[in-house]
Amino acid sequence: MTASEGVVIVGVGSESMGDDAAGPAVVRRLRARGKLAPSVRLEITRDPTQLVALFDGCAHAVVVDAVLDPERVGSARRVAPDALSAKPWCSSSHGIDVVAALGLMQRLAERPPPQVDIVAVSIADAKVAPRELSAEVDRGVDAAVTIVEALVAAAGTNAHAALELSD
Amino acid sequence: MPKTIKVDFLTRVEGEGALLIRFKGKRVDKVELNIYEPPRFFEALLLGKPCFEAPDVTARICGICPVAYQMSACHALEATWGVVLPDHLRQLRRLLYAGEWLESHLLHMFLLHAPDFLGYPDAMQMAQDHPEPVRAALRMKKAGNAIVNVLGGREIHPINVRVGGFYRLPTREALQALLPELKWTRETMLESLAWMRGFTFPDLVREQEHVALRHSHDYPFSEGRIVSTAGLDIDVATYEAHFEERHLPHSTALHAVLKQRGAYVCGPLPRLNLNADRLRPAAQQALAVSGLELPCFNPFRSILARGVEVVQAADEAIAIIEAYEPGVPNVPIVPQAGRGHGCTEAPRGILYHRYDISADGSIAGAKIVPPTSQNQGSIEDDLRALAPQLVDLPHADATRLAEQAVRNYDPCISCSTHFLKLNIEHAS
Repeated sequence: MTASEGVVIVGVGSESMGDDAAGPAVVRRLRARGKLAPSVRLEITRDPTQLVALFDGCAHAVVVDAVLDPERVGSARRVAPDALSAKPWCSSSHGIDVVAALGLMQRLAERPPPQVDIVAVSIADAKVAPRELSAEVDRGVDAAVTIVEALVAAAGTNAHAALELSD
Repeated sequence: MPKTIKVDFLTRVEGEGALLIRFKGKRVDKVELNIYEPPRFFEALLLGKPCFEAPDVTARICGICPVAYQMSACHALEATWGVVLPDHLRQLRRLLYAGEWLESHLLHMFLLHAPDFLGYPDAMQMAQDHPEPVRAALRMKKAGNAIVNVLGGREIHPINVRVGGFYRLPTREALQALLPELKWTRETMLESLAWMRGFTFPDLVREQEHVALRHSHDYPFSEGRIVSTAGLDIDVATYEAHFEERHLPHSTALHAVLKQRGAYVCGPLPRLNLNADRLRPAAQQALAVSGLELPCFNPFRSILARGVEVVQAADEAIAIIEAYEPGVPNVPIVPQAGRGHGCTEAPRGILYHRYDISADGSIAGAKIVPPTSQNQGSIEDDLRALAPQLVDLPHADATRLAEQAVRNYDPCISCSTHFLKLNIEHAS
């Protein structure tokens, strides 16, 4: 298996909730750039419970989601699951949030992915309107695209471990 | 010393709210379900907009039950002009609603409510010891997601619904592909009900008035008269003559009450109490498996009613898909001035919409009454009735039981502001 095989990238968010659409926007931009190997699976969902099935059996899971972090709007970073659960960050209008969904995945998946990365795009708020991303979050989406491509390229290598992990 | 049960942020409910219970001795002095999520002012947001935008605008009130908002809006607007849809479109709307019931009921039953009965703080902890039911729930929920995705254009906040029908219809093949998982869901839910009937249900029976839609021959999704266990039987258009909303200082949501009668209950248990004779045979079997004896007025048993409705929704979805033949996607409508009313059965209970339309087709007035606003009074009454059981419990246990009582209603605070924290106080 090459580094890109068995990679599943999922953008989570609602495209009806303004900047909550950052996760899906990252996936759309990754598709448009075409820099990832064709074997990398790119998915969008508004329902975090679907992460359990989407990531089951893959080698490297990457979830991209918007986080409420008004002081860092316009930025994106790789975060540890513990860091997410420590703060009331996840904007969930979907029943359960991404942290809970990843927790379920570790317990329920027949073959949980050995490597899970979370890329967070900072937003100030998730509002019903407007439909478009704000200009600041749009910049954060570009930053997230760069981080995801670097994570996939470095997967399974020492370089991956060296990539910055933010709290 | 005052004793207070105080939950500052209710978990496993949709939205933000809090709960306060204050005791004087063993008597309850005060119960307040505080909804502090800011009001969304959707009714004002609609004013001046083209009326055909109402289904999509109101769908954004809720990420869990957008189909319900779309259906109530569509039915209200179509009623304004006396539009009746051909049967194939009516069936597809029922199919879409079945998908939403599956998504919403399965999430609530297994991931939000079942942990209460088994003594776990959340679904993650429950999944450690009971992985199979949670795994099955996610698979069943996915069957509901798939319906909404195929017919609604996406899993949440569907975009294919319009006044007069749909923008485009799915192929037979696209719907047929959903059948294997729906059949698996129907069978698996029967097994799950056999498991859930063994839960320990707190003893709380309150014969409050139950309200639901009732249709001439179908289990209610989006049509019928509004009926109750106390004899109410009215046309949807007269809703506001019988129900009113009151503003309470402790909540940003309005409380709906029956005029001169007070709080009432809507949702799965009232629907079942008032429509058991409309269940499909597979759901009748599920009712027998659940052990529910109707009428049932123990709100803690609502989880079983949801399970029966999962079987009903899956079975009806299967029947609709098997009989499906595509036709026209919609009927043309030219808006005119008028007033229309719509009431449909959201997963949590009846959802009422009323619109006033101007001659140019814009919205001149709108009223939306979501189910959680209608159930708030009953939730507080349940907590008062539960107080003798709460007062002598250790604080942590009392808090858990009170939160469970709130979750019986699967409250959607986002809708009701259109909600949770728990405070229990003991006053000397």
